[in-house]
Amino acid sequence: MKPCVVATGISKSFERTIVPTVHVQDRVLRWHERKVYWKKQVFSDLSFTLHAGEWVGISGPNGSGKTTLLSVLAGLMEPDEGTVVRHADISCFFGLGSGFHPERTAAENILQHALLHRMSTNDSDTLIEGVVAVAGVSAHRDLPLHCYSAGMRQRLAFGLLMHTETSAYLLDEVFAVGDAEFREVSRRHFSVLREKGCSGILVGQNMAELQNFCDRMLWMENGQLTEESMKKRASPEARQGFACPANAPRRVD
Amino acid sequence: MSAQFTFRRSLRVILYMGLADVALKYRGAIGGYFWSLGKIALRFVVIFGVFGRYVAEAIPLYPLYLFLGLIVWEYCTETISGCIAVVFQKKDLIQRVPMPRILLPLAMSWSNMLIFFSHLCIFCLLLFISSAPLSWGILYIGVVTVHIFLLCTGIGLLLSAFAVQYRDVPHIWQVFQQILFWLTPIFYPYRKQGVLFDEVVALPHRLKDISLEVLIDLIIRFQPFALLLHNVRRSLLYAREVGIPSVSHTIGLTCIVLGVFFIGAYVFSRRSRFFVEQY
Repeated sequence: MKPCVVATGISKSFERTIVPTVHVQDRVLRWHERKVYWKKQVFSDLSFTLHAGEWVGISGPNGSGKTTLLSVLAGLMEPDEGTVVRHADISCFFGLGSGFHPERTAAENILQHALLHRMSTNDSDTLIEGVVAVAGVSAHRDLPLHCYSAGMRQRLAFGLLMHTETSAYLLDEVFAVGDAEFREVSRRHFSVLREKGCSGILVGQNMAELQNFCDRMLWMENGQLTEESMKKRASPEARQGFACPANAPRRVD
Repeated sequence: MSAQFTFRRSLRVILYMGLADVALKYRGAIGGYFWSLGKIALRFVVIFGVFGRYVAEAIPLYPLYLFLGLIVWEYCTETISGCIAVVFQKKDLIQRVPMPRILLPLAMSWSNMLIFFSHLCIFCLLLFISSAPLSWGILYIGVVTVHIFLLCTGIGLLLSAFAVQYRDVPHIWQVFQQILFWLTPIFYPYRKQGVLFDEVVALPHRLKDISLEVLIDLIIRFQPFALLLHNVRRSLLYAREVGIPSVSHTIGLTCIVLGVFFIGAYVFSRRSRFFVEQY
Protein backbone atom coordinates (compact mmCIF):
# COMPACT_ATOMS: atom_id res chain seq x y z
CA MET A 1 0.00 0.00 0.00
CA LYS A 2 1.30 3.46 -0.90
CA PRO A 3 2.24 5.77 1.98
CA CYS A 4 -0.16 8.67 2.59
CA VAL A 5 2.44 11.43 2.62
CA VAL A 6 6.06 11.32 1.56
CA ALA A 7 8.22 14.39 2.19
CA THR A 8 11.72 14.20 0.78
CA GLY A 9 14.50 16.62 1.71
CA ILE A 10 12.18 19.49 2.52
CA SER A 11 13.51 22.80 3.80
CA LYS A 12 11.64 25.85 4.96
CA SER A 13 12.86 29.26 5.96
CA PHE A 14 11.22 32.60 6.65
CA GLU A 15 12.84 35.77 5.40
CA ARG A 16 12.01 39.34 6.34
CA THR A 17 13.69 42.60 5.50
CA ILE A 18 14.67 44.86 8.39
CA VAL A 19 14.03 47.99 6.28
CA PRO A 20 10.24 48.06 5.91
CA THR A 21 9.13 46.93 2.48
CA VAL A 22 5.54 46.09 3.18
CA HIS A 23 4.37 49.16 1.29
CA VAL A 24 4.70 49.93 -2.38
CA GLN A 25 5.83 53.42 -1.32
CA ASP A 26 8.70 51.90 0.69
CA ARG A 27 9.81 49.99 -2.35
CA VAL A 28 9.65 53.11 -4.49
CA LEU A 29 11.13 55.66 -2.08
CA ARG A 30 13.69 53.45 -0.35
CA TRP A 31 14.82 51.42 -3.33
CA HIS A 32 18.40 52.64 -2.92
CA GLU A 33 18.69 51.55 0.73
CA ARG A 34 20.64 48.38 1.25
CA LYS A 35 18.28 45.66 2.26
CA VAL A 36 19.14 43.89 5.51
CA TYR A 37 17.44 40.56 5.81
CA TRP A 38 16.46 38.58 8.86
CA LYS A 39 16.27 34.91 8.09
CA LYS A 40 15.04 32.01 10.15
CA GLN A 41 15.72 28.51 8.94
CA VAL A 42 12.83 26.51 10.39
CA PHE A 43 14.05 23.13 9.17
CA SER A 44 16.25 21.85 6.40
CA ASP A 45 16.69 18.62 4.45
CA LEU A 46 13.95 16.90 6.39
CA SER A 47 12.45 13.65 5.18
CA PHE A 48 9.33 12.09 6.54
CA THR A 49 6.85 9.39 5.58
CA LEU A 50 3.37 8.82 6.91
CA HIS A 51 2.48 5.24 6.14
CA ALA A 52 -1.05 4.05 5.53
CA GLY A 53 -2.76 3.21 8.80
CA GLU A 54 0.00 4.85 10.85
CA TRP A 55 -0.46 7.54 13.49
CA VAL A 56 2.48 9.80 14.19
CA GLY A 57 2.75 12.24 17.08
CA ILE A 58 5.00 15.29 16.86
CA SER A 59 5.92 17.32 19.86
CA GLY A 60 8.55 19.91 20.66
CA PRO A 61 9.10 23.32 22.21
CA ASN A 62 7.21 26.38 21.04
CA GLY A 63 8.63 27.87 17.86
CA SER A 64 10.38 24.69 16.84
CA GLY A 65 8.48 24.50 13.56
CA LYS A 66 5.86 21.81 14.21
CA THR A 67 2.99 23.80 12.77
CA THR A 68 5.13 24.96 9.85
CA LEU A 69 6.00 21.35 9.08
CA LEU A 70 2.34 20.40 9.22
CA SER A 71 1.45 23.35 6.97
CA VAL A 72 4.03 22.25 4.41
CA LEU A 73 2.78 18.66 4.53
CA ALA A 74 -0.80 19.90 4.10
CA GLY A 75 0.14 22.10 1.15
CA LEU A 76 -0.67 25.35 2.91
CA MET A 77 2.96 26.45 2.48
CA GLU A 78 5.45 25.70 -0.24
CA PRO A 79 8.76 24.16 0.82
CA ASP A 80 11.89 26.06 -0.26
CA GLU A 81 13.45 22.80 -1.34
CA GLY A 82 12.36 19.20 -1.54
CA THR A 83 9.08 17.61 -2.45
CA VAL A 84 5.91 16.58 -0.70
CA VAL A 85 3.86 13.85 -2.38
CA ARG A 86 0.37 13.14 -1.07
CA HIS A 87 -1.12 9.81 -2.10
CA ALA A 88 -4.14 9.99 0.17
CA ASP A 89 -7.11 12.24 0.64
CA ILE A 90 -6.01 14.51 3.50
CA SER A 91 -8.09 16.56 5.90
CA CYS A 92 -6.51 19.26 8.04
CA PHE A 93 -7.65 20.73 11.31
CA PHE A 94 -5.18 23.35 12.47
CA GLY A 95 -6.62 24.85 15.60
CA LEU A 96 -10.23 23.88 15.96
CA GLY A 97 -12.88 26.30 14.81
CA SER A 98 -10.66 28.29 12.48
CA GLY A 99 -12.69 29.92 9.75
CA PHE A 100 -15.87 29.92 11.80
CA HIS A 101 -17.80 33.15 11.34
CA PRO A 102 -19.14 34.49 14.66
CA GLU A 103 -22.21 36.07 13.03
CA ARG A 104 -23.29 32.85 11.36
CA THR A 105 -25.30 30.08 12.98
CA ALA A 106 -23.87 26.65 13.72
CA ALA A 107 -25.76 25.20 10.76
CA GLU A 108 -24.32 27.78 8.34
CA ASN A 109 -20.79 27.32 9.64
CA ILE A 110 -21.09 23.55 9.45
CA LEU A 111 -22.28 23.71 5.86
CA GLN A 112 -19.45 26.01 4.78
CA HIS A 113 -16.84 23.90 6.52
CA ALA A 114 -18.29 20.73 5.08
CA LEU A 115 -17.86 22.18 1.60
CA LEU A 116 -14.32 23.37 2.28
CA HIS A 117 -13.33 20.06 3.86
CA ARG A 118 -14.77 18.18 0.88
CA MET A 119 -17.42 16.44 2.96
CA SER A 120 -20.59 15.21 1.35
CA THR A 121 -23.36 17.77 1.73
CA ASN A 122 -26.04 15.84 -0.15
CA ASP A 123 -27.91 15.25 3.08
CA SER A 124 -27.00 18.48 4.82
CA ASP A 125 -29.75 18.25 7.46
CA THR A 126 -28.48 14.90 8.72
CA LEU A 127 -24.92 16.23 8.74
CA ILE A 128 -25.88 19.34 10.70
CA GLU A 129 -27.97 17.35 13.18
CA GLY A 130 -25.15 14.85 13.63
CA VAL A 131 -22.47 17.47 14.26
CA VAL A 132 -24.66 19.50 16.59
CA ALA A 133 -25.65 16.39 18.55
CA VAL A 134 -22.05 15.19 18.95
CA ALA A 135 -20.96 18.66 20.06
CA GLY A 136 -23.85 18.84 22.51
CA VAL A 137 -25.04 22.21 21.26
CA SER A 138 -28.47 21.23 19.91
CA ALA A 139 -30.15 23.94 21.97
CA HIS A 140 -27.93 26.58 20.32
CA ARG A 141 -28.34 25.23 16.77
CA ASP A 142 -29.88 28.38 15.29
CA LEU A 143 -27.93 30.93 17.30
CA PRO A 144 -24.99 32.83 15.87
CA LEU A 145 -21.64 31.54 17.04
CA HIS A 146 -20.85 34.60 19.11
CA CYS A 147 -23.51 33.30 21.53
CA TYR A 148 -21.37 30.19 22.14
CA SER A 149 -18.69 29.77 24.76
CA ALA A 150 -15.15 29.06 23.54
CA GLY A 151 -15.52 25.44 24.63
CA MET A 152 -18.80 25.00 22.76
CA ARG A 153 -17.22 26.41 19.61
CA GLN A 154 -14.32 23.98 19.89
CA ARG A 155 -16.69 21.08 20.47
CA LEU A 156 -18.63 22.07 17.38
CA ALA A 157 -15.41 22.09 15.36
CA PHE A 158 -14.48 18.72 16.80
CA GLY A 159 -17.92 17.44 15.86
CA LEU A 160 -17.13 18.47 12.29
CA LEU A 161 -13.81 16.67 12.45
CA MET A 162 -15.63 13.54 13.62
CA HIS A 163 -17.92 13.68 10.59
CA THR A 164 -15.07 14.11 8.12
CA GLU A 165 -14.51 10.96 6.11
CA THR A 166 -10.99 10.85 4.79
CA SER A 167 -8.02 8.51 4.83
CA ALA A 168 -5.46 10.81 6.49
CA TYR A 169 -5.69 13.56 9.09
CA LEU A 170 -3.29 16.34 9.97
CA LEU A 171 -4.27 17.64 13.38
CA ASP A 172 -2.71 20.48 15.34
CA GLU A 173 -3.52 20.86 19.04
CA VAL A 174 -6.89 19.14 18.97
CA PHE A 175 -6.62 17.21 22.22
CA ALA A 176 -7.32 19.97 24.69
CA VAL A 177 -10.93 20.31 23.60
CA GLY A 178 -13.89 20.27 25.94
CA ASP A 179 -14.34 18.81 29.39
CA ALA A 180 -13.28 15.36 30.58
CA GLU A 181 -16.42 13.73 29.23
CA PHE A 182 -15.97 15.22 25.77
CA ARG A 183 -12.29 14.29 25.73
CA GLU A 184 -13.31 10.71 26.35
CA VAL A 185 -15.65 10.93 23.35
CA SER A 186 -12.81 12.29 21.21
CA ARG A 187 -10.45 9.52 22.39
CA ARG A 188 -13.00 6.91 21.40
CA HIS A 189 -13.38 8.59 18.03
CA PHE A 190 -9.65 8.40 17.36
CA SER A 191 -9.70 4.73 18.29
CA VAL A 192 -12.45 4.19 15.75
CA LEU A 193 -10.40 5.99 13.11
CA ARG A 194 -7.47 3.72 13.83
CA GLU A 195 -9.67 0.67 13.54
CA LYS A 196 -10.86 1.90 10.17
CA GLY A 197 -7.25 2.05 8.99
CA CYS A 198 -7.02 5.83 8.74
CA SER A 199 -3.69 7.59 9.20
CA GLY A 200 -2.81 10.81 10.94
CA ILE A 201 -0.24 13.20 12.27
CA LEU A 202 -1.01 14.69 15.65
CA VAL A 203 0.88 17.74 16.81
CA GLY A 204 0.62 18.82 20.41
CA GLN A 205 2.39 19.63 23.64
CA ASN A 206 0.81 16.92 25.76
CA MET A 207 3.26 14.08 25.09
CA ALA A 208 1.54 11.53 27.32
CA GLU A 209 -1.75 12.10 25.48
CA LEU A 210 -0.06 11.80 22.09
CA GLN A 211 1.74 8.62 23.08
CA ASN A 212 -1.54 6.99 23.95
CA PHE A 213 -2.67 7.30 20.36
CA CYS A 214 0.39 7.20 18.17
CA ASP A 215 2.45 4.40 16.70
CA ARG A 216 5.46 6.66 16.40
CA MET A 217 6.48 9.73 18.36
CA LEU A 218 8.78 12.41 16.99
CA TRP A 219 10.46 15.31 18.71
CA MET A 220 11.11 18.49 16.81
CA GLU A 221 13.79 20.89 17.93
CA ASN A 222 16.30 23.11 16.12
CA GLY A 223 14.93 22.05 12.78
CA GLN A 224 15.56 18.38 13.47
CA LEU A 225 12.95 15.67 13.69
CA THR A 226 14.12 12.76 15.83
CA GLU A 227 12.67 9.75 17.62
CA GLU A 228 15.56 9.20 20.03
CA SER A 229 15.26 12.64 21.57
CA MET A 230 11.62 11.99 22.24
CA LYS A 231 12.39 8.90 24.28
CA LYS A 232 14.70 10.89 26.52
CA ARG A 233 12.07 13.49 27.17
CA ALA A 234 9.16 11.17 27.82
CA SER A 235 8.24 10.18 31.34
CA PRO A 236 9.27 6.65 32.52
CA GLU A 237 5.68 5.44 32.26
CA ALA A 238 5.35 6.89 28.80
CA ARG A 239 8.70 5.42 27.73
CA GLN A 240 7.50 1.94 28.61
CA GLY A 241 4.44 2.38 26.45
CA PHE A 242 6.24 4.22 23.68
CA ALA A 243 4.55 2.18 20.98
CA CYS A 244 0.81 2.24 20.53
CA PRO A 245 -1.40 0.89 23.32
CA ALA A 246 -1.77 -2.87 23.52
CA ASN A 247 -5.42 -2.83 22.57
CA ALA A 248 -4.93 -0.50 19.62
CA PRO A 249 -4.82 -2.00 16.13
CA ARG A 250 -1.46 -1.97 14.40
CA ARG A 251 -0.43 -0.36 11.17
CA VAL A 252 -1.68 -2.19 8.11
CA ASP A 253 0.84 -1.56 5.32
CA MET B 1 -3.34 21.41 -2.88
CA SER B 2 -6.34 21.93 -5.08
CA ALA B 3 -6.24 18.54 -6.76
CA GLN B 4 -8.93 17.21 -4.45
CA PHE B 5 -11.23 20.10 -5.28
CA THR B 6 -13.16 19.13 -8.36
CA PHE B 7 -14.61 21.79 -10.64
CA ARG B 8 -18.10 20.92 -9.40
CA ARG B 9 -17.15 21.28 -5.74
CA SER B 10 -15.33 24.56 -6.43
CA LEU B 11 -18.44 25.88 -8.13
CA ARG B 12 -20.58 24.83 -5.16
CA VAL B 13 -18.20 26.57 -2.76
CA ILE B 14 -18.33 29.78 -4.82
CA LEU B 15 -22.12 29.72 -5.11
CA TYR B 16 -22.67 28.89 -1.45
CA MET B 17 -20.14 31.36 -0.04
CA GLY B 18 -21.40 34.15 -2.31
CA LEU B 19 -25.00 33.59 -1.27
CA ALA B 20 -24.10 33.27 2.41
CA ASP B 21 -22.08 36.51 2.27
CA VAL B 22 -25.02 38.41 0.75
CA ALA B 23 -27.38 37.00 3.38
CA LEU B 24 -24.98 37.89 6.18
CA LYS B 25 -24.28 41.40 4.87
CA TYR B 26 -27.79 42.68 5.47
CA ARG B 27 -28.91 40.35 8.24
CA GLY B 28 -30.35 42.14 11.24
CA ALA B 29 -30.07 45.58 9.62
CA ILE B 30 -33.17 47.76 9.66
CA GLY B 31 -34.03 48.12 6.00
CA GLY B 32 -31.98 45.01 5.20
CA TYR B 33 -31.18 44.75 1.52
CA PHE B 34 -32.29 48.34 0.81
CA TRP B 35 -29.10 49.56 2.48
CA SER B 36 -27.32 48.40 -0.66
CA LEU B 37 -29.29 51.04 -2.54
CA GLY B 38 -28.64 53.79 0.00
CA LYS B 39 -25.17 54.74 -1.26
CA ILE B 40 -26.32 54.72 -4.88
CA ALA B 41 -29.47 56.71 -4.11
CA LEU B 42 -27.56 59.40 -2.21
CA ARG B 43 -24.96 59.73 -4.92
CA PHE B 44 -27.73 59.89 -7.51
CA VAL B 45 -29.48 62.73 -5.67
CA VAL B 46 -26.26 64.76 -5.29
CA ILE B 47 -25.03 64.29 -8.87
CA PHE B 48 -28.47 64.84 -10.37
CA GLY B 49 -28.92 67.97 -8.27
CA VAL B 50 -25.50 69.43 -9.05
CA PHE B 51 -24.71 68.32 -12.61
CA GLY B 52 -28.17 67.42 -13.92
CA ARG B 53 -28.98 70.95 -15.04
CA TYR B 54 -25.85 71.06 -17.27
CA VAL B 55 -26.02 67.68 -18.95
CA ALA B 56 -29.62 66.47 -18.67
CA GLU B 57 -30.69 68.18 -21.89
CA ALA B 58 -27.88 66.63 -23.90
CA ILE B 59 -28.63 63.09 -22.72
CA PRO B 60 -31.98 61.43 -23.38
CA LEU B 61 -33.52 59.67 -20.35
CA TYR B 62 -30.85 61.26 -18.13
CA PRO B 63 -32.14 59.98 -14.74
CA LEU B 64 -32.04 56.40 -16.03
CA TYR B 65 -28.68 57.05 -17.72
CA LEU B 66 -27.24 58.25 -14.42
CA PHE B 67 -28.81 55.49 -12.30
CA LEU B 68 -27.50 52.79 -14.65
CA GLY B 69 -24.04 54.35 -14.59
CA LEU B 70 -24.05 54.38 -10.81
CA ILE B 71 -25.12 50.75 -10.34
CA VAL B 72 -22.50 49.49 -12.80
CA TRP B 73 -19.84 51.65 -11.13
CA GLU B 74 -20.92 50.38 -7.71
CA TYR B 75 -20.55 46.76 -8.83
CA CYS B 76 -17.10 47.40 -10.35
CA THR B 77 -15.65 49.18 -7.32
CA GLU B 78 -17.24 46.92 -4.73
CA THR B 79 -15.96 43.84 -6.53
CA ILE B 80 -12.39 45.07 -6.90
CA SER B 81 -12.25 46.41 -3.32
CA GLY B 82 -13.94 43.23 -2.06
CA CYS B 83 -11.39 40.99 -3.81
CA ILE B 84 -8.58 42.95 -2.15
CA ALA B 85 -10.27 42.84 1.27
CA VAL B 86 -11.24 39.17 1.16
CA VAL B 87 -7.64 37.95 1.45
CA PHE B 88 -7.50 39.70 4.83
CA GLN B 89 -11.07 38.94 5.96
CA LYS B 90 -10.69 35.21 5.30
CA LYS B 91 -7.12 35.02 6.52
CA ASP B 92 -8.11 32.26 8.91
CA LEU B 93 -9.29 30.02 6.08
CA ILE B 94 -6.24 30.78 3.94
CA GLN B 95 -3.89 29.94 6.80
CA ARG B 96 -5.55 26.77 7.96
CA VAL B 97 -7.70 25.12 5.30
CA PRO B 98 -6.04 23.63 2.22
CA MET B 99 -8.27 24.83 -0.59
CA PRO B 100 -7.85 26.70 -3.88
CA ARG B 101 -7.52 30.24 -2.54
CA ILE B 102 -8.84 31.71 -5.74
CA LEU B 103 -12.31 30.56 -4.67
CA LEU B 104 -12.46 33.33 -2.06
CA PRO B 105 -12.24 36.33 -4.44
CA LEU B 106 -14.43 34.51 -6.95
CA ALA B 107 -17.11 34.03 -4.26
CA MET B 108 -16.78 37.70 -3.36
CA SER B 109 -17.28 38.69 -6.99
CA TRP B 110 -20.29 36.39 -7.24
CA SER B 111 -21.92 37.88 -4.13
CA ASN B 112 -21.49 41.36 -5.60
CA MET B 113 -22.93 40.11 -8.87
CA LEU B 114 -26.06 38.97 -7.02
CA ILE B 115 -26.50 42.47 -5.61
CA PHE B 116 -25.86 43.92 -9.08
CA PHE B 117 -28.59 41.69 -10.51
CA SER B 118 -31.03 42.96 -7.92
CA HIS B 119 -30.08 46.56 -8.79
CA LEU B 120 -30.62 45.77 -12.46
CA CYS B 121 -34.10 44.46 -11.64
CA ILE B 122 -34.91 47.75 -9.92
CA PHE B 123 -33.55 49.59 -12.97
CA CYS B 124 -35.76 47.51 -15.28
CA LEU B 125 -38.74 48.40 -13.11
CA LEU B 126 -37.91 52.09 -13.45
CA LEU B 127 -37.43 51.60 -17.18
CA PHE B 128 -40.89 50.07 -17.40
CA ILE B 129 -42.48 52.81 -15.30
CA SER B 130 -40.86 55.58 -17.36
CA SER B 131 -42.26 54.04 -20.58
CA ALA B 132 -38.85 54.16 -22.22
CA PRO B 133 -38.64 52.44 -25.62
CA LEU B 134 -37.57 48.79 -25.33
CA SER B 135 -36.11 46.43 -27.93
CA TRP B 136 -34.62 42.96 -28.21
CA GLY B 137 -31.24 44.61 -27.70
CA ILE B 138 -31.94 44.39 -23.99
CA LEU B 139 -30.85 40.74 -24.17
CA TYR B 140 -27.30 41.89 -24.95
CA ILE B 141 -27.01 42.83 -21.27
CA GLY B 142 -26.11 39.17 -20.60
CA VAL B 143 -22.94 39.53 -22.68
CA VAL B 144 -21.97 42.86 -21.09
CA THR B 145 -22.58 41.45 -17.61
CA VAL B 146 -20.13 38.61 -18.32
CA HIS B 147 -17.63 41.19 -19.64
CA ILE B 148 -17.98 43.31 -16.50
CA PHE B 149 -17.66 40.24 -14.24
CA LEU B 150 -14.49 39.07 -15.98
CA LEU B 151 -12.85 42.50 -16.06
CA CYS B 152 -13.56 43.43 -12.44
CA THR B 153 -12.72 39.98 -11.09
CA GLY B 154 -9.51 39.93 -13.13
CA ILE B 155 -8.39 43.32 -11.80
CA GLY B 156 -9.48 42.32 -8.29
CA LEU B 157 -7.45 39.10 -8.47
CA LEU B 158 -4.41 40.97 -9.75
CA LEU B 159 -4.52 43.57 -6.97
CA SER B 160 -5.33 41.10 -4.19
CA ALA B 161 -2.38 38.96 -5.29
CA PHE B 162 -0.09 41.84 -4.27
CA ALA B 163 -2.16 43.18 -1.36
CA VAL B 164 -0.83 40.72 1.21
CA GLN B 165 2.81 41.58 0.54
CA TYR B 166 2.25 45.31 -0.04
CA ARG B 167 -0.16 46.59 2.58
CA ASP B 168 -0.86 49.92 0.89
CA VAL B 169 -2.38 48.35 -2.23
CA PRO B 170 -5.94 48.94 -0.88
CA HIS B 171 -5.14 52.64 -0.24
CA ILE B 172 -3.56 53.07 -3.67
CA TRP B 173 -6.62 51.46 -5.23
CA GLN B 174 -8.93 53.83 -3.29
CA VAL B 175 -7.06 56.85 -4.72
CA PHE B 176 -7.02 55.37 -8.20
CA GLN B 177 -10.72 54.58 -7.90
CA GLN B 178 -11.51 58.26 -7.20
CA ILE B 179 -9.58 59.32 -10.31
CA LEU B 180 -11.27 56.60 -12.35
CA PHE B 181 -14.70 57.79 -11.19
CA TRP B 182 -14.14 61.16 -12.86
CA LEU B 183 -12.61 59.54 -15.93
CA THR B 184 -15.64 57.32 -16.49
CA PRO B 185 -18.72 58.78 -18.19
CA ILE B 186 -21.08 58.02 -15.34
CA PHE B 187 -22.89 61.34 -15.21
CA TYR B 188 -21.61 63.02 -18.37
CA PRO B 189 -22.05 61.85 -21.97
CA TYR B 190 -19.74 59.36 -23.65
CA ARG B 191 -18.32 60.86 -26.82
CA LYS B 192 -18.07 58.22 -29.47
CA GLN B 193 -16.87 59.41 -32.85
CA GLY B 194 -17.01 56.32 -35.04
CA VAL B 195 -16.40 52.61 -35.18
CA LEU B 196 -14.20 51.63 -32.24
CA PHE B 197 -11.81 49.55 -34.34
CA ASP B 198 -11.21 52.47 -36.75
CA GLU B 199 -10.57 54.77 -33.82
CA VAL B 200 -8.05 52.35 -32.32
CA VAL B 201 -6.26 52.13 -35.68
CA ALA B 202 -6.13 55.92 -35.84
CA LEU B 203 -4.73 56.23 -32.32
CA PRO B 204 -1.01 56.46 -33.30
CA HIS B 205 -1.75 59.52 -35.47
CA ARG B 206 -3.59 61.21 -32.62
CA LEU B 207 -0.75 60.51 -30.20
CA LYS B 208 1.70 62.49 -32.38
CA ASP B 209 0.52 65.87 -31.18
CA ILE B 210 -0.68 64.88 -27.75
CA SER B 211 -1.84 67.42 -25.19
CA LEU B 212 -3.29 66.89 -21.70
CA GLU B 213 -6.79 67.53 -22.99
CA VAL B 214 -6.42 64.99 -25.79
CA LEU B 215 -4.90 62.46 -23.40
CA ILE B 216 -7.80 62.75 -20.96
CA ASP B 217 -10.25 62.48 -23.84
CA LEU B 218 -8.54 59.32 -25.08
CA ILE B 219 -8.55 57.78 -21.60
CA ILE B 220 -12.25 58.51 -21.17
CA ARG B 221 -13.09 56.99 -24.51
CA PHE B 222 -10.87 53.93 -24.46
CA GLN B 223 -10.61 52.87 -20.84
CA PRO B 224 -12.45 49.55 -20.44
CA PHE B 225 -14.91 50.71 -17.77
CA ALA B 226 -16.12 53.49 -20.08
CA LEU B 227 -16.49 51.07 -22.99
CA LEU B 228 -18.41 48.55 -20.91
CA LEU B 229 -20.63 51.20 -19.38
CA HIS B 230 -21.38 52.54 -22.85
CA ASN B 231 -22.30 49.02 -23.95
CA VAL B 232 -24.62 48.55 -20.97
CA ARG B 233 -26.44 51.75 -21.90
CA ARG B 234 -26.58 50.79 -25.57
CA SER B 235 -28.21 47.53 -24.55
CA LEU B 236 -30.70 48.77 -21.97
CA LEU B 237 -31.43 52.38 -22.92
CA TYR B 238 -30.52 53.16 -26.51
CA ALA B 239 -30.77 49.83 -28.33
CA ARG B 240 -33.25 51.30 -30.79
CA GLU B 241 -31.39 54.53 -31.52
CA VAL B 242 -27.75 53.44 -31.37
CA GLY B 243 -28.06 49.66 -31.68
CA ILE B 244 -26.15 46.99 -29.81
CA PRO B 245 -22.38 46.57 -30.36
CA SER B 246 -21.25 44.71 -33.48
CA VAL B 247 -19.97 41.14 -33.45
CA SER B 248 -16.35 42.23 -34.05
CA HIS B 249 -16.62 44.77 -31.21
CA THR B 250 -18.00 42.05 -28.92
CA ILE B 251 -15.31 39.54 -29.87
CA GLY B 252 -12.55 42.12 -29.41
CA LEU B 253 -13.80 43.17 -26.00
CA THR B 254 -14.32 39.53 -24.96
CA CYS B 255 -10.68 38.79 -25.80
CA ILE B 256 -9.51 41.78 -23.73
CA VAL B 257 -11.59 40.96 -20.63
CA LEU B 258 -10.71 37.27 -20.86
CA GLY B 259 -7.06 38.26 -21.07
CA VAL B 260 -7.35 40.45 -17.97
CA PHE B 261 -9.20 37.68 -16.10
CA PHE B 262 -6.70 34.95 -16.95
CA ILE B 263 -3.70 37.15 -16.17
CA GLY B 264 -5.31 38.02 -12.83
CA ALA B 265 -6.11 34.37 -12.09
CA TYR B 266 -2.60 33.24 -13.06
CA VAL B 267 -0.84 35.89 -10.95
CA PHE B 268 -3.16 35.23 -8.00
CA SER B 269 -2.60 31.47 -8.18
CA ARG B 270 1.17 31.95 -8.26
CA ARG B 271 1.39 34.51 -5.48
CA SER B 272 -1.29 33.08 -3.19
CA ARG B 273 0.98 30.08 -2.53
CA PHE B 274 3.05 32.40 -0.33
CA PHE B 275 0.18 34.19 1.45
CA VAL B 276 0.54 32.19 4.67
CA GLU B 277 4.12 33.35 5.23
CA GLN B 278 3.44 36.90 4.05
CA TYR B 279 0.73 37.64 6.61
